[in-house]
Amino acid sequence: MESATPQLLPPPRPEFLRARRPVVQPERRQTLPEPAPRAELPRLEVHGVSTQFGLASGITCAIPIVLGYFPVAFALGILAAQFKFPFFAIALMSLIVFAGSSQFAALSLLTAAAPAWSVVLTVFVVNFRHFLMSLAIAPQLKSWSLKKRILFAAQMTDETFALHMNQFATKDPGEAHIFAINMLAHSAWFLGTVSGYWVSWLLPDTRALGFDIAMPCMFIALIVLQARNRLLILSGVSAALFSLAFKLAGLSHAAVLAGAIIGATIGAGVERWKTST
Amino acid sequence: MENVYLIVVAMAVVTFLPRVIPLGFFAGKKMPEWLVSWLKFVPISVLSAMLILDLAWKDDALALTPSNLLLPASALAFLVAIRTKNLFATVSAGMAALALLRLVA
Repeated sequence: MESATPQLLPPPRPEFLRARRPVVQPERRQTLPEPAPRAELPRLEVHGVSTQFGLASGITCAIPIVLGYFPVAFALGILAAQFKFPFFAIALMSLIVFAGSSQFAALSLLTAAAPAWSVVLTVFVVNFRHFLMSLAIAPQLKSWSLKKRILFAAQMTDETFALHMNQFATKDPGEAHIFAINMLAHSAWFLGTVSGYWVSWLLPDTRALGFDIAMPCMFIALIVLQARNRLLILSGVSAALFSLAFKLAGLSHAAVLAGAIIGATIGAGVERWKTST
Repeated sequence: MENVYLIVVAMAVVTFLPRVIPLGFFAGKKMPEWLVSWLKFVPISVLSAMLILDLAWKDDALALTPSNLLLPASALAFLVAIRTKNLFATVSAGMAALALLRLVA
């Protein structure tokens, strides 16, 4: 209804204002008629929550992710068909693994006849970053039942995680909103893979269409959304530089993880140093 | 490739475990303050590390050359992302730019 509802909550007051406030407030409260401000606020807040977040808002928020996932999954399906990878195996992979870059890596390793253990190990290393994300979002979901947390964990990806964290930074979006996004993202990934496989004979070379940049572009958009202050930017840039350095030093799949850990440590370290001085 | 399904299931298991262990076991626990402040920097760090390797690393070598068309296309995507803050606009701009550059080059 009112598009202004999300901005309802005023920014937190600076410390010096907050301290002064109680001195003025009690006097005013006694002279002003009570009901008017009191009745107004809760009603508007409830109204704001009920119209802002829910199944419908989840679907709206999922659109960009669906539009981003579908072409990437489509490219994965095409690649699988070109490699003569079994259809049900790639469809199953998109359903139960649901982790983009690791699926591309696994596909190329499997078609290169790499040993099974090395494929599984690569996937483990590439996806271990989810451990950090799961740890980061856990406090926000602590009121959820174990079953729901497990379902959430099974569907957590870089993109949906980043989106949820952005929303939690302002307000708890609620289960319906969150699961709508996760389910739609998962469906888009699965359907994209399946359709890419079957349409592969129409598009012999996806590189001509620029599909291979779809995934990096999603990362770009999410990085820009995350870069809310200089410290966050500093940690992103350091993570990028260190992961490149690790690659140059000969590390293969662990480079992302190692670079990210160092980047986050630099950000947190500088923050600590700045607050202590 | 008859055991490919087994490999896929194993992949799913090793992907699921890191996703579920913190959420399943640490969700109710109070985390130390240093960990909480460290975790704030995790998302952007992971995304940046993955992005740079997608763009600037190819065939086991640094690919910071003019022939790497991903670089100009992603630079444009960055501008679009900063201006629009929209996932779909960013992906479409990047894909269009890359397709055009490949057509020209």
